[in-house]
Amino acid sequence: MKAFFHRLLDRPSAWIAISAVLILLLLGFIGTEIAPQNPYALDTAIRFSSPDAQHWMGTDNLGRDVFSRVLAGAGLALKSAAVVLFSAALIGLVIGCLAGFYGGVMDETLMRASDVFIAFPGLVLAMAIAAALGPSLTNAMIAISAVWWPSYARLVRAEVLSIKQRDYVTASHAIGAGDLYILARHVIPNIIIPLLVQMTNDVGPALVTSSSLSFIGMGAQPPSPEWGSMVSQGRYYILDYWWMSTFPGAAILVTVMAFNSLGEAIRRSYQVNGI
Amino acid sequence: MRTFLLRRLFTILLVWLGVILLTFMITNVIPSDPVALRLGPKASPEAINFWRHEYGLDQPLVNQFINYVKNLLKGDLGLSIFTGRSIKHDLGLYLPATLELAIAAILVTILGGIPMGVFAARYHGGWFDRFVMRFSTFGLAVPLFWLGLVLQLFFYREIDLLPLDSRISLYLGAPTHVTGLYVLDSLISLDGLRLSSSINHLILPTITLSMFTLGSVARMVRASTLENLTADYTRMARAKGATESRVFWDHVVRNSLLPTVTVLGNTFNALLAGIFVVEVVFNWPGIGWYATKSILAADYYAIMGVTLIIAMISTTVNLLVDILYGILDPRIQYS
Repeated sequence: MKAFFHRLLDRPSAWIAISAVLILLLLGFIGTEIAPQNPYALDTAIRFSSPDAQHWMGTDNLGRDVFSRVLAGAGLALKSAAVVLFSAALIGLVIGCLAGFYGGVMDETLMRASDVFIAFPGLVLAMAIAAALGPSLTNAMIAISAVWWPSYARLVRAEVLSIKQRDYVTASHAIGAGDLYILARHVIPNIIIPLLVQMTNDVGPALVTSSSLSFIGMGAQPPSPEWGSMVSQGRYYILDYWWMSTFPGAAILVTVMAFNSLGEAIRRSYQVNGI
Repeated sequence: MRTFLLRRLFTILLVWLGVILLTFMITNVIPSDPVALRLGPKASPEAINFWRHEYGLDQPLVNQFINYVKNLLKGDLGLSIFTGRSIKHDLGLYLPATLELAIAAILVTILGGIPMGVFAARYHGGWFDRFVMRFSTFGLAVPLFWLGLVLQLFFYREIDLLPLDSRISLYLGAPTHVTGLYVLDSLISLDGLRLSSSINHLILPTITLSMFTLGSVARMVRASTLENLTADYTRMARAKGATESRVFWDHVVRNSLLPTVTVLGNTFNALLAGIFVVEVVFNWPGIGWYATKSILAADYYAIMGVTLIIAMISTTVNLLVDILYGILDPRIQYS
C-alpha cells in the first residue's frame, strides 16, 4: 500500500490530477457559499449581460449570474456521481459476491441478468428508466445506478472467484467458519481496493451520463444549476449569447478530465504494484 | 467454431428475451397514462376506456407481455401513440438517418483512430504522440452535447462555413429515395447539389459523435502497439536483422490491431449512446431524436421499439466482433 502511494506520488501528472480533484471537491462543498451572487436570484434588468468584471461568465436569460451557478453546480455534479457510483458498487458487490461465491445456478442466473443490462448502451437504458420514473435528478441517479451495477458485479465476481481458491479461505472453511464470516473477513476486504480503483475511473463517465440525461430533459430540472441542464437551457440562445452554455459545459469537461487523469494515475501505479 | 456460433446465437436469443422483458417492465411502471395524455385533458372517460381497450392496456400485464412478444415475432411493434403511425413505419423512417450518421462516425473512428494510435507509438514521446495523448484525453472527457454546441458556434456562427443542423438544406429537400442515406442517395441519383449539401450537413455531427470513440481507439491502438514493440517476437525479428520499419509494420502493427477489434464492440456501444444527444443537438431526425420525443410524450411502445432495436443492433455487432476476432486471429480457440 505504501509502495503504491510512493509510485503514485512519483508522477508529476498525478500531482496535477490530485490537486485538481481536491480543488473540485472543495468547490463541491463550499461552491454555493463562495458564489459572488445568489445562483437563483433573478434580475431581468441585467439578462444576457456578456462576461465582464462583475459577472465573470455573464448572466443568463433570467439575469442569473452564470459563474455563481457554475460554482453551485459543482456540488450537485459531485454528489450525483458519488451517489450513483456508491449505490452501483453496493449492488454490484452483493450480486458479484453471490454469483462468485456460490456459483452454479445462482451464478448463471445473475450473470445472464447482467448480460441483459450490458446489452444496452448505458445512456439508452438509463433514459428509458428515467423516463418511466419521471424526470428529476434523483430519478436520473436511480436510473444510472441501475445501469451501472453489472460492470461492478462482473469485477467483484472475478475477484471472488480467485480469492475463493486461496489457501486461507480453504483453511477458514476447514476450521468451520461460515459463509458470511468468510465473505466479510476474507473476501470483501480484498475486493474493496480494486472496486475503489474502478470507481475512481468511473467518476468521469458517470458525470457525463448524468449531465447528458439532464441535457435531454430526463434529469435535473430548471432552475437547478446542474451543469447539463444549464447547457440545455442556454442552447436556445447559443447563437446570440454564447456564454450561457459554454461555461457550464466547460466545467463538465474540466471536472471529467481531472477525475479521468486521477483514475489513470491510480490505475497505473496500482497495476505496476499489483497489491 | 460451429458449436461456438450456436452457443453464442442461443445466448443472444436469451439476452433478447431478457431485453424485451426488461423494457416491458420499465415502460409499465410509467406512472402517467399514455392514452389520457394523448387524448388530452378534455377526453371523456368512455373515449379513454375505448382506446385503452383498443391498445390492450386494460388486460393483465402478463397477457400484455405475451401479446407484445407475439406481435414482435410478426414484426409488429405496435402503434405509436405519439405519431399515430405504426412503430415499424416510424423506425423505418428514422433509422436511415441514424445509420448514415453512425456509419460516418465509425469510418472516422477507424480510419482516424488506428493511424493516430500507430503513428503515436511509432514516434513514441515525439510531438505527434503528445498530440494524440492530449487529443484522446480531451475526447474521453468532453460531453458530446456540449462539443456539438461549441462546434456549431464556431463553424456556423463565427466563420459560417458549415450548416447549423438537420440533414440537408431545407430548400433542396431529400434526394430521390433509394436507401434513405442522403449521401448515398444523392450519389446514386448523380445529384451534385444535394450530395454536397448532405455531406456538409453530415460533417459536424460526425465529428461530434466520433470524438469519444476516436479518443478511445487511438489510445488503445497506441498502448497495444507499444506493448508489442517490446514483445519477445519483436526482439527476435530485430535479432534476425530485420529493418526497424519491417519489424514495425509487418510484425508489430499487425499484432497490435487485433485487440483493437475487441474494443470496437465497446466503442460501438458508446457510439450508440452518443447518438441520442448528438441527434438532439443537431436536430438530426434519427431514432435517437425520435426516442427523446417519444419519451417526453410517454409513448411507451415507441420507447420499447427504439430500445429494442438499439439493444439488438448492439448485441449483434458484439457477436460479429467476436466472430471476426476468431477469423482474424487463428490462435483463438473457441470451446
